[in-house]
Amino acid sequence: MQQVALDSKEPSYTEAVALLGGLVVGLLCLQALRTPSIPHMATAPAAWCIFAPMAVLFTIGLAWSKNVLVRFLSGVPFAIVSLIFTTIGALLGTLIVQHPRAGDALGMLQKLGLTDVFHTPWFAALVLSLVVNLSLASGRRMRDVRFSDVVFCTTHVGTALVLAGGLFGNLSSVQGTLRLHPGKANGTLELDAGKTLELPFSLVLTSFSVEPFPLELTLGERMDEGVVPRKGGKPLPALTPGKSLDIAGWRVTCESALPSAEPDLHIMEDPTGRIVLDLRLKAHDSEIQFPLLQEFSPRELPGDRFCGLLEAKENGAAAILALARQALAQDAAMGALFVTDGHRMTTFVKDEAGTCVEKHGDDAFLPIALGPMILTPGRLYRAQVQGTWKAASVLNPQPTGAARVVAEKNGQRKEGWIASGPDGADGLDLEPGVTLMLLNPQPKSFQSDVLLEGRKHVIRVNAPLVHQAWQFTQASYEVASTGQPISVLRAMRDPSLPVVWTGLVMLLVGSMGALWILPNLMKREQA
Amino acid sequence: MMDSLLLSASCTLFAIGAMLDVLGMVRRNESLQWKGALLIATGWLMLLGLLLWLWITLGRPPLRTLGETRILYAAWLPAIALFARWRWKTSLLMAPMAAMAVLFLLLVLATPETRVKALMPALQSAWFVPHVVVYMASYATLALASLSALVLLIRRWRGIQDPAATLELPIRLLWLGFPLLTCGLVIGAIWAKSAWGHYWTWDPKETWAFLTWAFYLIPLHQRAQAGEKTSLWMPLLGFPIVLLCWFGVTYLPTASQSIHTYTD
Repeated sequence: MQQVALDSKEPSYTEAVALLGGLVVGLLCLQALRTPSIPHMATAPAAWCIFAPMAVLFTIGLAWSKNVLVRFLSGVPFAIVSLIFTTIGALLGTLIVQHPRAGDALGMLQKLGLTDVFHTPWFAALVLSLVVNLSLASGRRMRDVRFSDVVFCTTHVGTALVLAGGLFGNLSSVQGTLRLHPGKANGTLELDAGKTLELPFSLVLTSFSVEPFPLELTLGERMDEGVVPRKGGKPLPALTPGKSLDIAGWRVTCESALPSAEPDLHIMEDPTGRIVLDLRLKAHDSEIQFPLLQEFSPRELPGDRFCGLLEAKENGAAAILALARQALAQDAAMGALFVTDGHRMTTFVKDEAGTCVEKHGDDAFLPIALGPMILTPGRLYRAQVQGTWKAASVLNPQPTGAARVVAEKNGQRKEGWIASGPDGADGLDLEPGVTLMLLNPQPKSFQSDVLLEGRKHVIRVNAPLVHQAWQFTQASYEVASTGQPISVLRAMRDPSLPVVWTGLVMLLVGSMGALWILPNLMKREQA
Repeated sequence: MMDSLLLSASCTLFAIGAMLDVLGMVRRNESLQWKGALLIATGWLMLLGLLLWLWITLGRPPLRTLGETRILYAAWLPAIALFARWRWKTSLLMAPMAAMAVLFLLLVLATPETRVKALMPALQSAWFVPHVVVYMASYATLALASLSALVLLIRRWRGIQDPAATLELPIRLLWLGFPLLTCGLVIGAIWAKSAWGHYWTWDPKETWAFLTWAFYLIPLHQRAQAGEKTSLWMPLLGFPIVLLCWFGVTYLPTASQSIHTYTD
């Protein structure tokens, strides 16, 4: 009689809350006292570690379906309480900043693992409780094999596989960043925890290319913070040289359009044996140009003069400054020159009378803060150098765009360069409240051509490379101080992936099958 | 401007269609209700036209910005409502659906965006369109579930006894919207794997997608227990969670850690 009473006991929410609540509190206390580390299981066979326990649970559910413990752990109350606790944990992970910077005053939150919720033992325990519930429930359900039971098992086992695979992946996956410099081999992965890992192979970046979008012209308004694009309306056609557009009553013709510019500064020897500086900028399959300088745009400089930027080490700074004064005085087409040693910036500007004015600033990042600069295409800056110094490229890693436009209306004519850049755009004022400007250029695509074990591969965004269970994804790129691009790849190895994909497919198929369940359930109820 | 014109026209047709529908319901005049439905269908076609026009002029799917997704969402609402009307013979949804669609379209009109053609490399994927389209369809369906629950609760409060079949409308819509939500989630995971290297990173947006999915499991499980009727409050409470997931995430403290950000 007692056995029957035990078997017929319905699972209760109170017991589920007590069990799971106790588990979470216990693990939280453990976390607060000492941070437990979950062992990394990099070499554990994922399929066995996931399928075997789940199969055992499934069988237990099938064979001991009336057992009070099985009924409790596989019941809806346990599932819902477990789900609620898991969602509360996940919710905390979106309300509290995860992985805060060192030094942020988050004391107790960090002790409880709330600044890295998704990697704590208590969160893992909650996910595991869902896996146990789903596996047992699926086993119990397969006592009768009807369409609704098959759909049930497909969705629930699928979900359990995804959760178990994700949990196992957390313990066994390895991910990090691989930075590739052109022409150099690299097999050292920078892991997230600040450590490194040597891969059993290395990749060589043979070339890196960035394709920009065509320049997008738009109308803007000049505000205090700069030129701001207008909202709404139809987008304008792409800006191409020789093409004319009618904009706000103006006939706008594009004379030259340069979607991006890459600076190139190097030392060369002229025919007389002098060491000179050759400063050029290369645009994407177009002529030479410099990006636009925010403070010294062509509308402030008389005519289309050009500017240059030099970076010198401290021991050469004095020579460079003398060089700059000399160059400005000698070169009629020279409008401004900037010299930096990485800490201070000295700016030389020539006015219409040819008088040079010097300005000094203390900003180590001024070359970047200044933004891009505009120069007349094809001009070359030459100067004589005395003393030792080291050339460096213009420090502006972001792609910039510039275009020269001519706008005409009712006999009025306005012309000049317009540009965009990471520090704001510069536009051409047509009339009050109407300014022609360029939208910030964006890379359309960027890709790495790599050599891996003698074979060529191309890695693009959304087109990763998979090799020996490692996946290399094109994450982003950087530009070194030498101006060379650095390809940034994200590398990942997750042995639980096949399990997760299987689970997702089952979940998807089961969800579609579930569309038929409710109408059938309603028909049965009516009958 | 073509976009403002089409948006305004759709809003007007939805509003007039909703008024005719309500009038028809009050006067028990089916002909008026059908005329209302016809106007709503016409407004829906205009929205589809707008989406097509945007696609052509931008040269990319108009699904990148918050405003563009709002237009798609407003386009799904009448489609699902008209389907529900045909499938379950209910006109309960038309007026509230139209009101919601008008609200979202007015939001789009009130907050114009810069029309940028460029699509960042991560979004240049075959998964982009299915992911957003399926998700917006699920949001629209779940929103209609919430609206129908609200209407039924108001009618109950006013003492109107609705038949059992009508009371099942919210759960029917949940049962339709949930697989779409699951589908959107799965597509997102597959896409994330190829774009970012990992199918799940507990990004705030991803976490809220999971929270939304987990929330709707509760009323579905309640209903799946044969003989149990779902409370109308559960579908109603789900929509604020959907809204939080859709654009509320931007305002969370962890928003800066998310790579799922809408850009203008």
